Amino acid sequence: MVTSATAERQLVARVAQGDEEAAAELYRLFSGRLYAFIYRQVGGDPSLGEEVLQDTFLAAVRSAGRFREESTVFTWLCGIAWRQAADRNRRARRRRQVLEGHTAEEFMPLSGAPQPEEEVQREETRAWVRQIVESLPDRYRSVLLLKYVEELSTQEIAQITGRSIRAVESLLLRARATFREHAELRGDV
Amino acid sequence: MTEPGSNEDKLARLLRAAYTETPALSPTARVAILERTLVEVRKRGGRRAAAGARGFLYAAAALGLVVLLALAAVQLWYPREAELATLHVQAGPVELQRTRTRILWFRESSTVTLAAGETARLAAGDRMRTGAGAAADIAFAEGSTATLAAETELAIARLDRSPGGQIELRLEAGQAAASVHALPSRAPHLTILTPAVSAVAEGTRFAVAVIAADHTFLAADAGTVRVRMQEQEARLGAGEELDAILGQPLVVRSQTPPQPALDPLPEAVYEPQIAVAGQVVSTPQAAPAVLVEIYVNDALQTTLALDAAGRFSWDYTAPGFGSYRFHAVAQSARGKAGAPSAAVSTTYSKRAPAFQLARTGQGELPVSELGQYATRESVVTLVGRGTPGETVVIYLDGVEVGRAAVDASGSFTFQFTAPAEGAYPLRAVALDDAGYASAEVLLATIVYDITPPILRLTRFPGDEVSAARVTLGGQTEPGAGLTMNGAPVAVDAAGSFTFEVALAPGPNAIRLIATDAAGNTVCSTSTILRK
Repeated sequence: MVTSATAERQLVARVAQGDEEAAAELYRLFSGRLYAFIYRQVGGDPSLGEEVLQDTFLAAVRSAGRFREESTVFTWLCGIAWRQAADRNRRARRRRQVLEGHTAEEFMPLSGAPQPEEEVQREETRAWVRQIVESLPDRYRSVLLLKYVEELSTQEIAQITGRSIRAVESLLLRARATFREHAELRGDV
Repeated sequence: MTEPGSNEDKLARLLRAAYTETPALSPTARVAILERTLVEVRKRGGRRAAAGARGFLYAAAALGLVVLLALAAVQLWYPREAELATLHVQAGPVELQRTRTRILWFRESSTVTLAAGETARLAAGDRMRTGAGAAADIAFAEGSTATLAAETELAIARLDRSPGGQIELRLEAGQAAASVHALPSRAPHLTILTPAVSAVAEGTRFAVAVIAADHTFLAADAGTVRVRMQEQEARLGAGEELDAILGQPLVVRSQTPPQPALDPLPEAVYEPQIAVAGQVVSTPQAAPAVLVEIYVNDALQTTLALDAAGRFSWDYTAPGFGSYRFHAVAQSARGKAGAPSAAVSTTYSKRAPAFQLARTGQGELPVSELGQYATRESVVTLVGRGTPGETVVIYLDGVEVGRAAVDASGSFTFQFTAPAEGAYPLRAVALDDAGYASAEVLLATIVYDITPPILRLTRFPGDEVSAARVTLGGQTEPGAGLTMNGAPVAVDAAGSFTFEVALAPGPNAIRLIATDAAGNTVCSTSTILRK
């Protein structure tokens, strides 16, 4: 179902008025895309992604009245999700620091059935890319995902993260440089 | 957009490849999240309703608070009555009705009765009424004062707090005097309103009295007062006053009443009661006189009221014999004195002897035209009246010639014997037992005369005439009577006479007889022949 930006904004307005149908429609329209966005922001943790999605919609319902229509509804929801995910990520990082000293194997999922070699190599590439991305500071990781995975414009990233466009561009520049440094250390890029 | 083949493009492809999977919500999570979201929506709606109710309450409370704050602000801002004057009760009772603003336009009135010595702060709107015999002063903060007479009603119509503020007093009955504190740089600021006029003081002392609803009296003692009555305006200077009567022109006059005039007094009086009378003639230029002060020998003796014609009279009882000088000073209703009258004087004397008659053995002597008593007798008895018990002393040429006692009936007699022919002016005084003597008076002039008067003809036509009428003239003694053939002939004061006589043909006898005051006679007979 294709909806216009105006119709999406009217949905938000109706949600602000307590319209359950509008809330259900808003959920139907954006929950899938938003979950994918959140999933990547939280490092691929499905249950954490669901929690963040839940928190995002709850926050969206509570703040629907403050939606100023300066961005698209999806960008507005992404902004909420991004802040929720960032908060979760900060808490997760602190949790990881507490658990430091334990071996990685203890937390690594066990491999399943054997895979072909090419697939294994692509999977290794994806894995180390993800490792690098996940090892980056949150601000770098986040803008890289928003820019190159979610394929959002710099302006949209600025709206989601609450930064200026110039700050986002600067952040992207430093994020790319940092990613490259990490990749060069591995000798793969 | 990234440039194909660039490092950024390479990075983009790496990242997209790393995150190719499209995660999907589990159906359970999808439904659960939706349910929780809808629950939140319902909750928010409920909260919104509750918030709406609360918001209404909050709004009402806030509105109430705003109203209260506004009321408080207005109350603070609202101009309260400034108590800028003090009432001092000199003599009670004085009834004071005070009105004060309590909250906004809510006002509270109270009435108190003040006794002598009590004070009260005053503000605009206050009213006071002095009782019979009461008196009170009002002292205004800026320095002016007002004095209220008895049975006066006064309201403070305006009493500004600001410097140079106006004071307006409404005098509804009675009298008030104001002394206005004038500053050189200050505009007139004290106004007294009466039912008939408004009076604006220009740095002055002045008095106002409400005579009636259409009649107000004003007087300025210092400075000037601007008086307005309907379309008329007058300016009272120091020492001036006016009666403002609705429908009549405003006429400014002097506060000084006119000069009185005293009626003349006799030169002497013989009783201690001296009747003093006079009149004050009103003029439009002077204040009406209501009283006159009578001074005796420059000492104030009494104050008299005037009748409708401005006349006054008084019986003064002299304390003793002597001269008394009287003058009068008129007073206006406000006690302003005018110029003194011209003085009149008299002397209170013992009653002098009064002559009644003079007689001889031939009877009572007639008084001559010269006021003399002429007789051919040398002994004359004088009869007079005096104060019983007193003695009459008779003098001739300053020498006592005898005394006579006044009997109980008030009569006295004195026998005078003329030593020779002549006129004897006898003067007398009355003398009482205490030795006080009356003024000396001329009792009578006795003329002892035994010489016949002269008679001679100075105009005689001759012994023989042909005319039927002739004129004759002559001279005799002044005061003597003259007859011609028995008919009286007029004699002038010098003794001259002229008369006509009709002649019959033949001889005509002309017989002239002159008789003086003492009764001495002379006869002259002539004959004229008419041919």
